[in-house]
Amino acid sequence: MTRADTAGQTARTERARGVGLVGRALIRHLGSAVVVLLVVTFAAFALVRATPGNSATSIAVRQAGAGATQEQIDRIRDELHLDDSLVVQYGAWLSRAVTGDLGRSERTGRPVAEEIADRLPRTLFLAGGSAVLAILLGLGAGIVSAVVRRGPLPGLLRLGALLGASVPPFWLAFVLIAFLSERLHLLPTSGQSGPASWVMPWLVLAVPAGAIISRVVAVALADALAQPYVGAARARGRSTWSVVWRDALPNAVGSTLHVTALQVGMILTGTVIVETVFAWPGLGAWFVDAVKFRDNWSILAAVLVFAIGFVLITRLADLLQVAGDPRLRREETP
Amino acid sequence: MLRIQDVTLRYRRRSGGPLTAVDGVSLTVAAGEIVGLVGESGCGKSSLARAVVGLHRHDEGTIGLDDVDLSALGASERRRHRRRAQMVFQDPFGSLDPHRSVGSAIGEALAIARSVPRTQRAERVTELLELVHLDPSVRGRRPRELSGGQCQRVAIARALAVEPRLLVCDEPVTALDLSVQAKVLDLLVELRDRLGTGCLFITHDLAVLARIADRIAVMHEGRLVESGPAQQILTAPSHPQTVRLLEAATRFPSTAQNPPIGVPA
Amino acid sequence: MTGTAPSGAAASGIRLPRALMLALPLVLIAVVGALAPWLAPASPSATDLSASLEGPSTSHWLGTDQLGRDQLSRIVFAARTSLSVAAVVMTLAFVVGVTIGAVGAFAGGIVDRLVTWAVEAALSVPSLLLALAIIGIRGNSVPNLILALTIVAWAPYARIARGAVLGYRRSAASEALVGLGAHPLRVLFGHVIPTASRPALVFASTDVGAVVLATAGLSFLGLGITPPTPEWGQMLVESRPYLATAWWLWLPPGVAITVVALSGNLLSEHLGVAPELRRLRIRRPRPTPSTSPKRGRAQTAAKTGRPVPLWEMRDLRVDFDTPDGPVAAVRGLDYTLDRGEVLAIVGESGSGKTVSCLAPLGLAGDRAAVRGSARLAGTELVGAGEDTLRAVRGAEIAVVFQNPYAALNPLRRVGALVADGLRPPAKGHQARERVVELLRAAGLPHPEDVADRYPHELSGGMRQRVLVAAALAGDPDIVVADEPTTALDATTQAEVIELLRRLQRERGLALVLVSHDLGVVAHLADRVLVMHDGVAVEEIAADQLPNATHPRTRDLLDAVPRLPETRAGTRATTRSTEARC
Repeated sequence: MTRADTAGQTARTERARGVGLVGRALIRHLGSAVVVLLVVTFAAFALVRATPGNSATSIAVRQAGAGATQEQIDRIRDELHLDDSLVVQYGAWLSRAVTGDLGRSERTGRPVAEEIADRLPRTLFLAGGSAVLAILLGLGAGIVSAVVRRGPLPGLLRLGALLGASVPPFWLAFVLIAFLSERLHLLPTSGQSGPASWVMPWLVLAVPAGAIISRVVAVALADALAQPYVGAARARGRSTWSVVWRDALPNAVGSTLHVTALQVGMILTGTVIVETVFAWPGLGAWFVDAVKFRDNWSILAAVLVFAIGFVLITRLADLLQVAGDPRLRREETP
Repeated sequence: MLRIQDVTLRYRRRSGGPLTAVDGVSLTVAAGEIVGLVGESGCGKSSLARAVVGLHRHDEGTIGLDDVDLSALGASERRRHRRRAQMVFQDPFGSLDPHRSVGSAIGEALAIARSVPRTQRAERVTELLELVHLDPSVRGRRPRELSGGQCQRVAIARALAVEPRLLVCDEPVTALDLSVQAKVLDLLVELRDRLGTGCLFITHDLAVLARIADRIAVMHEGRLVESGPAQQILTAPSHPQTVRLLEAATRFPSTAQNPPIGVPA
Repeated sequence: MTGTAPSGAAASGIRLPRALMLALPLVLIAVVGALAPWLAPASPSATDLSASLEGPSTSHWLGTDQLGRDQLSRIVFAARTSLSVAAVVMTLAFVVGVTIGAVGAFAGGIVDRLVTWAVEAALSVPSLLLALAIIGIRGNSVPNLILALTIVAWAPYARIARGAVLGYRRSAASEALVGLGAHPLRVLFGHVIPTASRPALVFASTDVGAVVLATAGLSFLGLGITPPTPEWGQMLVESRPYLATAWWLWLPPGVAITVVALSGNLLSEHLGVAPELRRLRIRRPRPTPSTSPKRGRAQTAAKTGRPVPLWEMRDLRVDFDTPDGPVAAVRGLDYTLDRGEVLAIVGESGSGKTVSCLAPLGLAGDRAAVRGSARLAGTELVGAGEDTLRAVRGAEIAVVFQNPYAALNPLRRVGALVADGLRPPAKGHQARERVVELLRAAGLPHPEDVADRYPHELSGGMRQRVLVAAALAGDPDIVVADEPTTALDATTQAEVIELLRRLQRERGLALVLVSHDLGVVAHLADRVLVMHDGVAVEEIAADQLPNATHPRTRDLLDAVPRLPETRAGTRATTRSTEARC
């Protein structure tokens, strides 16, 4: 049979090409991620420029008070290329941003890059811990509610997940503070003084994300369990859990990766609220302050940093999905 | 009635030259005649069928239905003439809007054709449903609530609503159970007898054509390789491709040499 | 097509009230909000410093805040604020999104690429961040809040509408309409716009929660609705200093937001889950006919003389538990099967033929309730525990499934899939050797190579051979082949039938062949069991088929397409059962 013969060869070459294909997907994803970042920052930039109150004069007034001199105003106009077209202005900002110069905060006068460098690790710690917690919660609850079909447990988990996805995080924070801190005095209400102070911020961010992840995992897993190949595996005498681990879960995880990544991204941006509530001196709280003060360079920089994080996380998930599925690894037919 | 003359149809491809799907095919269908067009998947038979009902433009040759070529007409003229040839699709569920009831789907076809005054539409829908042997009470149901065979009957009734001269059936029974297939095929023959509608029946399965076709045309790689009366094609095929299709239709090529299998000796 | 859940909602008529019930809290809060000026006991802004921070009482049901304002009135007015912002945002997002998505799908080409791209870009940016940035740059006001939330919210509507319209444009339904000569405007307004709007509308009903949550979140940060206009998120910020002392300040607004969001999420879950339930819909049970089905008496009599049959079904009944109540799929089935015998079970789809084979093995799903008796070499399987059944599956009774495209785990290599079923289990080199041997036995060329491949790299016929190899891995006595050829093209069908026949003879297997095509099975079977509506209507020796009398059997026989004899004299009619005899 020649068909099998040639198919065998293609299979071998495909396998040899496998790494290259993932590499190519990586490049494609990174390329589109960069484009998204450019569009988002350009949109934000255009919005800044299109908004009244951002002329050289008013910026100078905000920086130096009412007594801003003409030189100061000219210097600002020059620095920001305000006489040039929007694209040139954006290009100037971008070329400086690439070298790490994100401008000076209009509020504090410090370089924006320094402010970010100070706060980013704290925010990453908060978001990272929550993400791990959310994924563990989501996977656990999702698997149990898809596999255990009898009894009240799956129903309760489902309701719990829907409730978790519906609770506003800031209010969840209040409820936790009111009971765990104010009433029971178990945990500190704010600050970063060791593990006890991490629990509530982590939980508040992890609960809604974990809830949504658990629903997606449950649905995807139930779907995978309904596939004929699962029935076929069981017909070969395999046990339920072995079928779940080896057949259903790998197939389900692929389709949940994207949503999981979105939720981790939401955790990252959710730090904006949680850091405000728990007085966590990170990037999120700083962003809110910048927004309140209309500190444009800081806003632009924060948009850039958060968007980079968000886009990286979601693209990474898409890549993982490609790497984990031999069907997607295959080169598209011309 | 339908005269296909030297029709060639090409697809543009992203890489390489154009792909010739149909290559200089000529074929006629007379009123009241069922002509089977058979070939493997990818041989161009579906492209040709779509060109006949004007869903695809052909590049060369003419497709004349009562000597009118759709592709030579302006938009509104074409809409009017389209009605003369109606297509019945392979997927019985896919060709009906899942949100519309059977009655509303057929009613819409009547409205488009403006063949029946608004007040008599309901009556005409009933007639059409009876014509395809469906209980008129199905008019309120949606496609999902019907079986595949019932859906295909509805699709046929809708096609007949605009009083076409020709039905183009593209693998209309392939998606159905064998026993349902047979009933739909019988219906097509019956409609031909009653209404005198011509029928171009596209399939990959010669066995299906044995049941209904008057004439059979065999396509292979875009060309017409053999055509003639059904009996002749089925019993005395001359082209190797026809022989191959016949063997496939019997499904057990090996038994052509071996004794029949499965019967305990 | 895309997830058009609403179709079912309208069609089934059963789930609609449930959906309304789930949306009820949302509707109630909306009504209360709309009637706030008449319902609220006091003005939301009337301060009374002498009565500040009072707990709930008969005069102030939910107490008062730090300025002595009536908390209940503020909650009620806040509902008005939140839900009107949500309504405006969602209307804008819906109109903008659906228009953009539908235009993209309808126009195609470069326009569609731009639309897809814009949607992708919008969805790959964190929404909260975008809203914050927009408000931060443009300033804090209600129009800016609405603008920000709309810019955040439109993309999913566009994506849904685009998908729906694209699905519709590619559907035969749209081609049929064009073929009927419908005017483009009729197509647009009668079909394209409804197609795009329906799923988007469902999404909107579930999107309420997200929009209300976002409004509250922004207000909580002081960037949405600002005082004195009451808003839930903003009320929460103000309650911050009183977390320990005045629960009536922070509890009710949070509950209100949660209820709205939960209502939306429940609705979303309900509408999203619905398609799964629809799949389960099987025909309603009909009263069991009083007359017992006809059967080939001679056959049965001959069998009863034997001691213990290999496989014996007695009055097997299978009911499915569905949302509409139990549905009977098998309604009393009897047959026996002996070693080396080939039994064909034939019937239309929905006649219960597949279920009758899978249910006794516990493979018909959780919703299947099995009664009666199914004995394997004397051992009762109905009611047996999972462990017993698991020991039987694969090792005693193996199944070759209908659709070779779906019955192989796409993420595992063929070799691993087949090795799974090996009895006794084996690992490593030894397993590998046995797997290759099985693949070779199943007629796969280059079995070593095939073992290393993924299912998607194989043709349908090769996959079916892999499934056969996997079935043989456990060295079973009985193989159930469920429509083993239906998904294959004609030539491959013949090869697979040939393979099954060879293996059955070589290994002395008992074979149960399930099919809707009498033509296929008649060549393989010793006996044929004709099923209709969950019962066997006729059991007959395969060579007696031409003399079958039951109308259902005749139907199935008549349905087999028949070719006239070729002039060369060879039989082209082997597909027909009658021509053989």
